Amino acid sequence: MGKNMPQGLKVLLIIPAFNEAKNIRSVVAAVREYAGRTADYQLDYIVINDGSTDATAQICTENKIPSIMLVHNLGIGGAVQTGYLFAAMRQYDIAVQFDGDGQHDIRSLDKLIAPILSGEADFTVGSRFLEGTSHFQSTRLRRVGIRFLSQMIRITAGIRILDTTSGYRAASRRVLEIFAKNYPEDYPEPESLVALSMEGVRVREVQVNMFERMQGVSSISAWRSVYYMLKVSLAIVCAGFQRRKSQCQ
Amino acid sequence: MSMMLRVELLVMAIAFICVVFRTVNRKKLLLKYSLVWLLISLGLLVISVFPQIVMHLTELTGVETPSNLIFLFAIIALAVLTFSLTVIVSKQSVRIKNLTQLLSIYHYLDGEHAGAQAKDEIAENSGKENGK
Repeated sequence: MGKNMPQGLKVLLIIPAFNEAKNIRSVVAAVREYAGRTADYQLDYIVINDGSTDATAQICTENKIPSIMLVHNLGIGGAVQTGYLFAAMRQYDIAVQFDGDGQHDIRSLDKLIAPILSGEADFTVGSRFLEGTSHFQSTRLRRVGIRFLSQMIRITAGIRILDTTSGYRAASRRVLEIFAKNYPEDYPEPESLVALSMEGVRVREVQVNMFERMQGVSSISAWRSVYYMLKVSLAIVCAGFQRRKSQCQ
Repeated sequence: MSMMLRVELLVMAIAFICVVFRTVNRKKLLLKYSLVWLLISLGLLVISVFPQIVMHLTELTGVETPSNLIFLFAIIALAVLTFSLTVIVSKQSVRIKNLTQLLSIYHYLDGEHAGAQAKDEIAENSGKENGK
């Protein structure tokens, strides 16, 4: 899983995977190749198999991919939180969420964790929209929804993030310990941002590269997105009523 | 409906919404389970502002008095709530049972593994003694 560097910085890639039998091998291959090249820190990764019903578990075992097999399906929130819990237990310095479907570009990792390494921020969100130079395309409906959530979060939490649903994010030790204890279940990306702002965490958005979904189908249908949109908006409003802690170094 | 009653209902509805928000923020209630309570509070709020709705519905459904209608709705709401709670509890029971079984099996396998290791060590040591 990585060379042993007693003094070095440890970074953990949390790779949640649900029925990603077609993609997981290539995703892990890209990560392994990148890990071989990083010198500034030790890059480990762990796949969280969220009760996949396809061959994901088999493929992980056959290819000796470090993976946690969740006994029940917990959803993206529960799966990612498992990764944070693992990171907290193993005392990683930085934990990074990295999708198991191949949409995230591992080569953007250095850019993503740079603000945390330099001490500028405690949490960074990898954005597709900051500079508008990404290859990523999304449906019109999703883009409207994302912009709406972005506004809501700006109003209630005072955080300016454009890509609120991005799953490519990096957390400092302090933040990953917060998430290990409390993390939203459904559609956690926007809600978790509000929770962090309430804790006075410094959040920064970083431009990263993302690809089109390689294979398989996105897990959210049109109707469910409406339900999630309402639920997340409510969660954002509800969380906004908490007393906010001031930002601290 | 008297103005006094309407104000009381409005205040109760708003107070309950605050309680729900507080309980969710303290992590004592999951947001998805708070939705039904928020819906009920919203209904109460609407009725306090537009009591004509209740009068209208009473005529429509052929119920004798508005209070009967409200009791009917309240009972239906509570019944639906309790029913869904039993469904949720059932799912949780099954999951807990699964976890218990798996944990116990892993415990056993761990013990077996530890036992096998101990056996190996004993075999090694006795082998060394015999060899002397």
